[in-house]
Amino acid sequence: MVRHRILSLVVCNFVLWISPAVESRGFAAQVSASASSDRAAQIEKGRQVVAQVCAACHTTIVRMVQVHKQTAEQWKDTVYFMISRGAQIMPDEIEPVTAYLTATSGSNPQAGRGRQTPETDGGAILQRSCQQCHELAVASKKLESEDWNAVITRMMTYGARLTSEDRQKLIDYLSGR
Amino acid sequence: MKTPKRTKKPASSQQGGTPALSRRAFIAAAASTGLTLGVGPAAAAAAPGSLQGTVTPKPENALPKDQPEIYRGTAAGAVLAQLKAAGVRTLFHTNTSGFVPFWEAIYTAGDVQVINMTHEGQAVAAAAGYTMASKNLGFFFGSHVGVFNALSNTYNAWKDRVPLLVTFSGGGIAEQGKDSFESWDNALGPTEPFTMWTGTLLTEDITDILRRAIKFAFGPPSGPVTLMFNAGGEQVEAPIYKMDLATMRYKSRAPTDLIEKAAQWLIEAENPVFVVGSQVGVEGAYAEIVALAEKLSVPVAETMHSLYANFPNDHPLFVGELQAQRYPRKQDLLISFGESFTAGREDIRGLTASGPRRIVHISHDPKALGRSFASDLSILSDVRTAIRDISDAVDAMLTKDRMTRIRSSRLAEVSAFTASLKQSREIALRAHFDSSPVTWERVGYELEKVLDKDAVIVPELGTQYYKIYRQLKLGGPNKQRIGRTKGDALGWGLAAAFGVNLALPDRQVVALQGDGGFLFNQSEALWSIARYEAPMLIVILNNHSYNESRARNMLNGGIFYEAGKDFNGYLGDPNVEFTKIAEAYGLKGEKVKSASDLGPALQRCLKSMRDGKAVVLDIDIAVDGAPLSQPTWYQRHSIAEIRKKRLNG
Repeated sequence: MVRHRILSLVVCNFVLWISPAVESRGFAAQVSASASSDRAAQIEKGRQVVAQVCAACHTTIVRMVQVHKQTAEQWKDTVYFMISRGAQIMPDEIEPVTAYLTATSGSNPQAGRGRQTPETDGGAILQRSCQQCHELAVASKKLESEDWNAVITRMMTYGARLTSEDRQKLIDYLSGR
Repeated sequence: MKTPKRTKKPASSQQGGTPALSRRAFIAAAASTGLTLGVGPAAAAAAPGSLQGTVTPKPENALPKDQPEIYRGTAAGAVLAQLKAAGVRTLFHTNTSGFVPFWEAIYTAGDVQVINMTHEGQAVAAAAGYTMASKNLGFFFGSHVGVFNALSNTYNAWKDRVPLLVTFSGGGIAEQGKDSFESWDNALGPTEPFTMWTGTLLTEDITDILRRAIKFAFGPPSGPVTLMFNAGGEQVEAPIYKMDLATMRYKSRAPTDLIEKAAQWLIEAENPVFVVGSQVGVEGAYAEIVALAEKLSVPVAETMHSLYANFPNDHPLFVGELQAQRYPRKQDLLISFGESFTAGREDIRGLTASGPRRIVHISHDPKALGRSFASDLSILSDVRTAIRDISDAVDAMLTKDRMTRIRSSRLAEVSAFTASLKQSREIALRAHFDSSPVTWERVGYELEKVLDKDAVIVPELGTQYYKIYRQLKLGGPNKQRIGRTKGDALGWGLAAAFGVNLALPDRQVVALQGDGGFLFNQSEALWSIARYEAPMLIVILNNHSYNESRARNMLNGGIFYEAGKDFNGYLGDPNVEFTKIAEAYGLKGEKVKSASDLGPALQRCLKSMRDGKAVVLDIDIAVDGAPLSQPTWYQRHSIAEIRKKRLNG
């Protein structure tokens, strides 16, 4: 069931984006203030490639990177592995992707236990279903409840499984009620 | 004497190979008859003198116009005679008593080869591999108590839509309800979820039943049929039906309006993509799909679980897996040629990642259309015929100048994209080219260097396989690939590769196995490989673990990942010497521990294959995925240590 929830989020028409919450907790915090703008630009480029390429299959990419602390060398090997495996990363993207993964990795080693958290409200449902792949800011767009209802309906046509109760909680939460 | 029944030709079928009529001629001729286009072949066939009559269809069951030959002899002999009349000369068997009349018929016939296997599941896998490579009919006979051994590979054959007859002796209804020796009720019941039909070969109508079974196996959809083999030494007179298996599958052709709509959408699309599926491979429509893709330089993708190499993977239009697509990022049209999209979430991602777009689904399997997803246009047709028809329709709709403009502008973009991908793969290959344990990429690279261009690869690996696959030239005029089975039930690959080798004795056949997969009851197949002198190469990619499942289990972290432990992934204790297993069967074994040893070892393997002997090549291969702090840990338990009673002796 979890699989379907994750899947539904990937296939819906949300803007796919690696969470800036992770960005702030993760690589942004780890990139020193003195880092060159080139370095920051490289990481940003890597983030975009990861969002576009890796997240296409690894729907939990943020959590995956959060829990795995690896060196730059190990991450580069992972990138090579995934290129051989079929990831469509271009030659000039190998270094940026490696830089992004290295900067982000291991920021929350226990994120893998997150699924055990009981869901009590719309925020928890959002966290469970959305924030692994989608930017919180995007999910918090100011939309009316009818619009969120349409978005969630579309997600459910792709296979999202939400109970009526959870669905309403999520709509209420997203529309700021 | 029994009079054979004649079966009416189904109105909507066209048997006898691909129709010779072009789409353009079809449209013109249809117009001249005054038929309404788009009503489908059934309506067309119903009209006297209609087009259907011009394509020389063969009858559905290939009944000859004259009276069929009448067989007189034992019921078991009638089964063999009917199989032979269908061109079946190779039978797969696992030992049991109870087939004496059938053996006598085989002995008397003198031109039928029985392949003995030592496990029902392996025999079914071998029959499946044989069928996939030969397009013949795989036939297995064994004991009904082997139904359960046969299940997983019967299931695999069903997932792969392989026509098989899987028959079992015993299990008669006379024993129903008794719970007597080797009996249970509804003996074939366990096979029903993944067979096209289950039945019983009764003495009465025995060859008719067999003819129907073959028809059901070929479909479409095609797949295994299970039968109770209740044909013994009883004397019968039975008609023997000539059957042409090459044209056995019920064929169909799409209505013109659907073809024209698909062609129109293709012409209008700015960023179309083709997805090629296993039906292209089944029909052998490789040249046709390449020609159509090249006509408008349409990028071609495949799904993650494609069964065959349906498009040359070194072609500049081949963009790899659909779910990983970056080009074209925003597709406005997807046309699936014979892919059923049954792989689950990976396929759904591939179908939806690009956002809204038109989807055209072309399949010769009516059950596949619209099953896994909703398409905008579903076309029931032989895939080869549909490709040709769409190609003709495009020709009729576009001027040559416009076609050239579309083709050349798109080709430049696609080629640049695929060339960059190739460059990235080359970088990844070279990154650890000389490392030991050997990288998967290096294995693929070395195999590509030494294997014949028409070699056949039969993989049964996890997703690491793709690292080998990217280094091999597969599809089209290059090497062929059969597998991995879409069923994914381990214990298929080695016997399936043996079946492929039986069908293609003049080709190099390479089974790619993991150590974990090999340990799923596969060493039994070595017995048959040795007995029948199949000069195969059996590569065991040995990372001493179930690396695929370990990597997946650890992907998102969790308690075990934090502890660096994996309960079920480590296989290195005991550290199996696969070369010694090979030697136990009288085969050759080669062990490779470093990259520099791989090339010379492969040369020795090829020599052995030339000499007619199979080789097991055991390669220490790199582990990938998230590294564990205790990769060799497992939950230890020793019976020897906990025993309290001193044993005698």
